[in-house]
Amino acid sequence: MIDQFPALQIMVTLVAAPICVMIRNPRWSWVCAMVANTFAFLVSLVLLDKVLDDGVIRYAVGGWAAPSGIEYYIDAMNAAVLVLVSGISAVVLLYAYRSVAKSVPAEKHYLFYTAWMMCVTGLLGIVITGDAFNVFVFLEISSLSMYTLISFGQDRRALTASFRYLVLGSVGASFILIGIGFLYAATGTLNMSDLAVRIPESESQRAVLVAFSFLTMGVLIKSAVFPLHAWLPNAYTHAPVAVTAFLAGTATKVSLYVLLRFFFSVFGKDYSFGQHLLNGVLLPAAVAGFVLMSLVAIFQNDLRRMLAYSSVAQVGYIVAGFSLATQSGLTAGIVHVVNHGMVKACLFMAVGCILYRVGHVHTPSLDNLLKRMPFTCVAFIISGLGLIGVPLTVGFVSKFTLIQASLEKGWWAIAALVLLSSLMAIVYVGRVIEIMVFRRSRETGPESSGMSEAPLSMLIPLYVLVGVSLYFGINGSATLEVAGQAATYLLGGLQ
Amino acid sequence: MAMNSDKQADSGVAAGADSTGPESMAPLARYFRWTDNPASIDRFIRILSYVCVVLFLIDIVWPRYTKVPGEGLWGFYAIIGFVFFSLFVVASRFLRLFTERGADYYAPDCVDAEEYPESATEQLSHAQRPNDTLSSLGRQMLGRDTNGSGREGASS
Amino acid sequence: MMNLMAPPFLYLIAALICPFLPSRWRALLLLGIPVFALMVMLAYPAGEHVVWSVVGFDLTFMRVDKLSTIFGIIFSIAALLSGLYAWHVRDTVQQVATLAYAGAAIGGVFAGDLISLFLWWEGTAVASVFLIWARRTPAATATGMRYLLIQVLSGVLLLAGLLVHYHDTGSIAFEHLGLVSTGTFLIFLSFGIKCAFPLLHNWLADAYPAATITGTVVLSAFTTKMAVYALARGYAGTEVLIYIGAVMALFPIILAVVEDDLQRVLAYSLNSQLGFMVVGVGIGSDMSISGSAAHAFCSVLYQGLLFMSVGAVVYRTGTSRASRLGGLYRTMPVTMLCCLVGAASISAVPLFSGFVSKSLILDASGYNGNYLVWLALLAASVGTVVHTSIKVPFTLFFSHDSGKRPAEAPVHMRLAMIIAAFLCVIIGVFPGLLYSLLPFSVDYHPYTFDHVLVQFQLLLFAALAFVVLKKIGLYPRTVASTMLDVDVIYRKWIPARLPLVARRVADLNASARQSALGLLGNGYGVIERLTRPGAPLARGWSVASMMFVVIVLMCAVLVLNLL
Repeated sequence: MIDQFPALQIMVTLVAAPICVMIRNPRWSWVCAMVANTFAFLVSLVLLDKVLDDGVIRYAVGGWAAPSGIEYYIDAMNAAVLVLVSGISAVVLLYAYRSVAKSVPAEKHYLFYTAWMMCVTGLLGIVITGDAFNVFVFLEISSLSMYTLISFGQDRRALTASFRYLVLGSVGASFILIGIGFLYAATGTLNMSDLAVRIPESESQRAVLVAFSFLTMGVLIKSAVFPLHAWLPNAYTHAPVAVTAFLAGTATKVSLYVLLRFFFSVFGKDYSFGQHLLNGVLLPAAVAGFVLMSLVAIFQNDLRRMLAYSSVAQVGYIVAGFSLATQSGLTAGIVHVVNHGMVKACLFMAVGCILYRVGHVHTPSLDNLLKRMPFTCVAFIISGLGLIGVPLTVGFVSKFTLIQASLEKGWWAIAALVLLSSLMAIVYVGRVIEIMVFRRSRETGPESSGMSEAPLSMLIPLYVLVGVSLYFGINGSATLEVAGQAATYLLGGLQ
Repeated sequence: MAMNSDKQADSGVAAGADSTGPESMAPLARYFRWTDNPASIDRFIRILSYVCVVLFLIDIVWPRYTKVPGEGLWGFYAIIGFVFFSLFVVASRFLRLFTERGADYYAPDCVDAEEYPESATEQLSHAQRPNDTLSSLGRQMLGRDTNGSGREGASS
Repeated sequence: MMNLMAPPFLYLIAALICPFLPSRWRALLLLGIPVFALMVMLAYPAGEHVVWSVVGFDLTFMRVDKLSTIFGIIFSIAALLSGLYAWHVRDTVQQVATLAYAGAAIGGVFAGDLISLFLWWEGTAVASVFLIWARRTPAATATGMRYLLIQVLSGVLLLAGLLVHYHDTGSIAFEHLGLVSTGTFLIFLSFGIKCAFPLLHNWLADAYPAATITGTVVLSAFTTKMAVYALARGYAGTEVLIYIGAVMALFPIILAVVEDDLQRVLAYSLNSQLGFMVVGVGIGSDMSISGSAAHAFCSVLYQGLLFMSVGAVVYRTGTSRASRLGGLYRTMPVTMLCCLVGAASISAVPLFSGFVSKSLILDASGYNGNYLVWLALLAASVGTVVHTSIKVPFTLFFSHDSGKRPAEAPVHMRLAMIIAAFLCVIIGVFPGLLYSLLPFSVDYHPYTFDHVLVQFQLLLFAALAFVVLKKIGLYPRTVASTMLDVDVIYRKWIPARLPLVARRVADLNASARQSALGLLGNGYGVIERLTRPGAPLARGWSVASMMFVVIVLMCAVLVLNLL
């Protein structure tokens, strides 16, 4: 049974999707999705445990061995991402029930959960597969369902946001497809391990180079690296907030995983960083991203938009960590993938709670919110501190590692800029906290008096995730160890 | 060592006594009354001058032991004493032209500008002088003082 | 437990229990502790005792040898006499401060290492300032603060010096240091402040007159003599000290001659006497070091005596200003006689204590070949006659009659003064008593005919000069005034110019800030224009512009990769 777990990881949610369609009842389709997602989470935990104990798992889908067949390939790196994706998805799905019930018409709920299931399937698939073309397929599955999910947003701007994302996402996906095509042409294989072996031997290096360029561009678009991020703020702002929490925690992170997989496992570190691309384009883009986007976040009055820009900035940190291409840099990047995933999901869930009760998230109007929604605000503050990188939170673990890594490499400027943008994070998070906690309510209307906390079914998932992130903040070595192992795998190439 | 306590003046009388009369003077001080008399002072100065002349003359007849060149000159020390004394006085007067300021120059941060706090002193006139003797001090120290402790005052 | 019986700790313990005793017992404690501690001190055999190991350092609290013992003895005597003199004082603050201060000073001279020396060094500073503050006037508070600042600065310099010294040599022993490194230089400077070197001396003339009557007497004994001891221990034979000492002996004279406040006159003369000791330390021969120790011993006594007599006058009249006093001999003859003994001692009249100690230093400098220094010290001896021996008794007790008829000093003050005067005379008549205590055995006979002759020539001709100058009206009459000293720099000039400088700095700061703010504002404007909601960086881009960026970047990537 346990041998079949890699397949099960994908199949459970994939099968749950059509079942949801058939159920049609909002509640039961949610239950079905929830059960499937929980199961997927448990499977991913088992897989992670197994990988950490026994090393890499290879699973030939349908019994056809690689390279002709499709192979699922699981190491510490993607096992961790699998846990992250399925875990956040499960928590947010639990949270989504009440949130969605309010913002999405009841007759569309079953479609919502179906799309969600498809999206999870796609994301998990991208992570688990060891086949380049399969990556594209799953990417399309997840992307299309994501567009759908975003379009469930309350107002019509969700539709344009979704459409813009659709265009950009399709361009990205086709770039990836083109890249994979060139790779296939140059090497004659689609299996990643096989590619890693054959790329250096390939006679048409130019084709490989073009493939590399297209793949990079495609993945950068999907992971919203500055300046290819423009689709993200609108999408995050106008999508249903549960979707935003889900996407912020998982979607961009999975794209970053793809970036890592291709750079380090397929092309190899020496090849990837031998090009001017990474030093010349990726690192400056990442640094400009986290500085400029933090700056932009300061001036945003919509809480979701602020967090969206902050997300772009955080992606900048992660990519900067990758660009260092050292053990510690990579560790920092991977740790931040996980940590930021958790923190951002928490923040958006808290925002969802506020939205659920207050009806808007216009920052200046959230004065004295602590009185009305103490639990939500406390969760927001804890996660906000995590976003800034206060010691004993996850943000500190990853930022500290990142600064250490850049100092190790002697790139003082990067370390300084990371600190600078952390200062900006203090400003934009602090501003919100200041308004929530200290600013006295100007109007003393009836709605400002008394407590109106979000429902428990939203608070519990929120606090579960806050608790987990706190745990990993205090016990930073747990995530660092997994990330370090993953970094070692990546730098050593595929075994 | 019972200094001036032997002849205690009656305070009622002393309060009205004139300030130069013998009653307003401690017994011991009578030996110094000549300092108020200009003629005595002149005599004192004359004696001082004679002694100085004698000392100077000794220098001529007595070859002194010397350790520093020039020390053996006639009247070396006498000249040093006289000249330097004058020099210091003149130099101070000269310096005073430049460095003298009003008494309250540093006020209020300097004690020159204020009086000594009266509570820490016991400003009695001669007529009011307390009858304290060694034995009264001894009694105070042994704690057998019956009436004198009020006299001490001056605690702050 | 026996370690706590070491004299400095005895004083500290006494200072701790003092506040809890009834008033008579507090005053008795001030008399009893010095006697008891002196006996304990003399019971210690030579060598190092009371060594405590603290964080890896062996702190020696009782390094007993002849040099430290002579200072210990005179400090004990000074503590006893000032205790007796202050019998009438029932102010707990002053009593505790006196005990702690005397204990710290005695601790300082017995400290065998620099760290414990530092502790006592700061201890004297902190304890003694209360004797000034105990006057309880605003001016005394301000003066005490100035005094404390300078004293603590000295302590800080000592700490810095000892750290550097420890870093250099790995030793904290307080032995001969010499001016050889940064560390020893800092320590030297620290000692120099407490010893009132020229230009570092202002605190002395500033603070001593500001203390209480009894506090001034206590202050005059300890701090500076401890510094002399420290110099003798650490910097004996350092040549620069000879010149420092010579200047130090000379320059206070001209300030003292015209000074109106007699307590300040005495402070200046104390400073001048310290110059003699510093010269002796600087010469560094057995004879001169012994001379310095002997002179310190005698100077504690006669300087204390002079301060006591002036203090007695203040106690009875409320002022120490020469311009308001005069003719007091009529009613204060005992005080007058004691003051005369002190004056005779300080001007080294034969048969008085200054004669037997000052001669040691003078002769040592003469034998040493520093003729100019010798001459300077000779001149300073004459100067002492000018400003102290003649001026103080003359203006207080004779001169013109001020009309004041104060009562004689209280009996305990008289007793203290008489004991001090008695000791001055005893030492002057039997110098062997003092010489047996000296750190080096000296074979010196002050009472030769030559010596006595020249001393009388010097002094009597100085007196003659006084008479002559007085006759022709050149001798300055003091008036109520303030004589500027070097401290005018930090007390007036700098504070006076500070507002101007501060305004300049403020203007500069304001303009710099304005331009910086302008820059910042502009920068902020640019940032805000770029990043506020709806600005280019922050608005939702159209599909076309997104695609444009993608294409541009793609081209860049391709070009870069194909290069």
